[in-house]
Amino acid sequence: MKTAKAGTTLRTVVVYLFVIWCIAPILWLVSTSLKSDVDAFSPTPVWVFVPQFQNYVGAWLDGGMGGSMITSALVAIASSALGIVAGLPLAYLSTQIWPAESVASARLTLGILLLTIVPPVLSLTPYYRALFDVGLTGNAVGLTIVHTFYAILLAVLIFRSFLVNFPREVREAALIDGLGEWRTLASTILPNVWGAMFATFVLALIQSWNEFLYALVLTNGSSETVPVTIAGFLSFFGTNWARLTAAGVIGALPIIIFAIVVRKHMARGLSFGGVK
Amino acid sequence: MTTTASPATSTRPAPMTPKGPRSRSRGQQASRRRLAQATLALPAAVIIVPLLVILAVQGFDLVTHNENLTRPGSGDQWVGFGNFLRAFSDPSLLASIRVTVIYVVAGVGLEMLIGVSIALMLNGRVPGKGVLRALILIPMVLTPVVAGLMWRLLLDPTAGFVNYLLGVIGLGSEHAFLSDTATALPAVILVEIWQNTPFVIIIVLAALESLDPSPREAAQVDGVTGGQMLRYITLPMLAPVLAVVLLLRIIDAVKTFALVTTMTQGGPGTSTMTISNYVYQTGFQTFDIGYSTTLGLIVSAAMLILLFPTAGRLMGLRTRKAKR
Repeated sequence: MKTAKAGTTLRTVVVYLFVIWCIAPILWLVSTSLKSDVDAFSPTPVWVFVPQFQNYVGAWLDGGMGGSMITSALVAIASSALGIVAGLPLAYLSTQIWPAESVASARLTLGILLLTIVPPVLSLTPYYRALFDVGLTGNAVGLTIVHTFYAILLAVLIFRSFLVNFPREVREAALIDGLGEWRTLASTILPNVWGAMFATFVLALIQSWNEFLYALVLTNGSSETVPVTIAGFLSFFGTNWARLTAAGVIGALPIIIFAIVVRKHMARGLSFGGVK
Repeated sequence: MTTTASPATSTRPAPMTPKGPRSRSRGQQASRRRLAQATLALPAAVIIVPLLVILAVQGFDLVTHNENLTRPGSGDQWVGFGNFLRAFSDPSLLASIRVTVIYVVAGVGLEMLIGVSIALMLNGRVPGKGVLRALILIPMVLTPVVAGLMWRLLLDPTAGFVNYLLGVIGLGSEHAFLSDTATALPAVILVEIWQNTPFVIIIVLAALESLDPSPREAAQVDGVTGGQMLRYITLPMLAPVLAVVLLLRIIDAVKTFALVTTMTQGGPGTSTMTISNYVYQTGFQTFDIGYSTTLGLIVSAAMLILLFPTAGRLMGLRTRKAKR
């Protein structure tokens, strides 16, 4: 009995230490963003200070965070929504029309898996050149297309994991009732996959918002997304850390709050059905 | 969710099936149905197919030419396999592969170890669990660029809080972690672990909570120790989930780019130059785009050879010839 109690105490201590390790850097980031630039780069931490909200104003207006936030939001929402619209029918095709264990279904899913494994650096230059030639770099359109591509991969894998055990008889019944495939999808499958759809949307949104490599190459100036703008605060001529950290807080906060609010939906989506 | 629908299937008569006239157009009808099914793949194809065509056409062109954007006309210079030959004798490529392997093995290895341990502890009785789970999520969804810059400042030799802490406990307070070849890579790996251990925790914890409790209860009745329970019951039951988590972490960690770019830009020297950073630098800083694409292709091929068969099996798909 005593050892069990000691075990619980030890467990609690270790877990709390771990959570502090996760959170302390973030708290420090937020506190730095509220300091004056001198205090922010002081050799000894300044514990007591008057909050300086002008870092936020500076990051938003002069630093261009305002514009990037809008660009990032548009790219993330558009690519996640398109990813779902394109991914769900494909997952329906490969689990309901084709049996999940059929060759066609396995091939399709393996193809999606293959594209997921391939590192993005392979397509970086080819996409850049092709999109540049048709005028889709330097604005958010090319980036949205590429992010949609990755959102589709995510959507197919998540929807597949949810639909793979969904009884195929439901579709057959709907077809006998004279519904077409699209109407069947909308009326019998859709109401059963709201959870998967939400998880897909959340993860695709986070993925797009945080994506840096393609954003760095395909956007510039007024079309920059949040990560590119924040990285641009680094300067060889003395970085203004107070303003940089303020930009970091602005850029990361929406996605953190969003993720915490919807966290219940994330675990299963994250592992593509690895967790039932 | 399906109990109402499935009985109906067996009893309901198919409405429009007068036998005679229909057999004539059966082929036609089947092809119309096939067409309707094909439209389901259309939205995805509209995005995926053009991008893959671009990848194939532009990729072939880039890989077989010695194009460098700083040398006009170099795009017309056909080199065949020249770029590949250059890659195979490129010490920087080898160095970046080495850095990436260390990064993935050390980073993902420790993430798994720490993540599974914390998940097991969190699965027990811990006060304030709901809040803790929400807080643990934060590093994982933090924009990697912000995480990298934040840690760059934390590790700064003059203003960094880490050095302040080390100074307080008497270990010296002016370590330039990120500009020392001995500590730069471990520092970046530390941030990788800080950021991605929560991913392991969240999935493993969810898996633990959905495990069938009866084998563990039975073992408890039989009086096994905590260690035996873990070794012979809990971990084996978790194994499939752990394999998927490990695979997903490896796939993601190999692609790492933002952390290195914001913390060290691959330096000092090439001590933190991962594959993604090397390919990016070759393509977009020295503008050697033909060679850069070749490097990307080699890395992708290696990734697929190493991971694809396992990935297919873990996701419940046969990669050998399917049975039917």
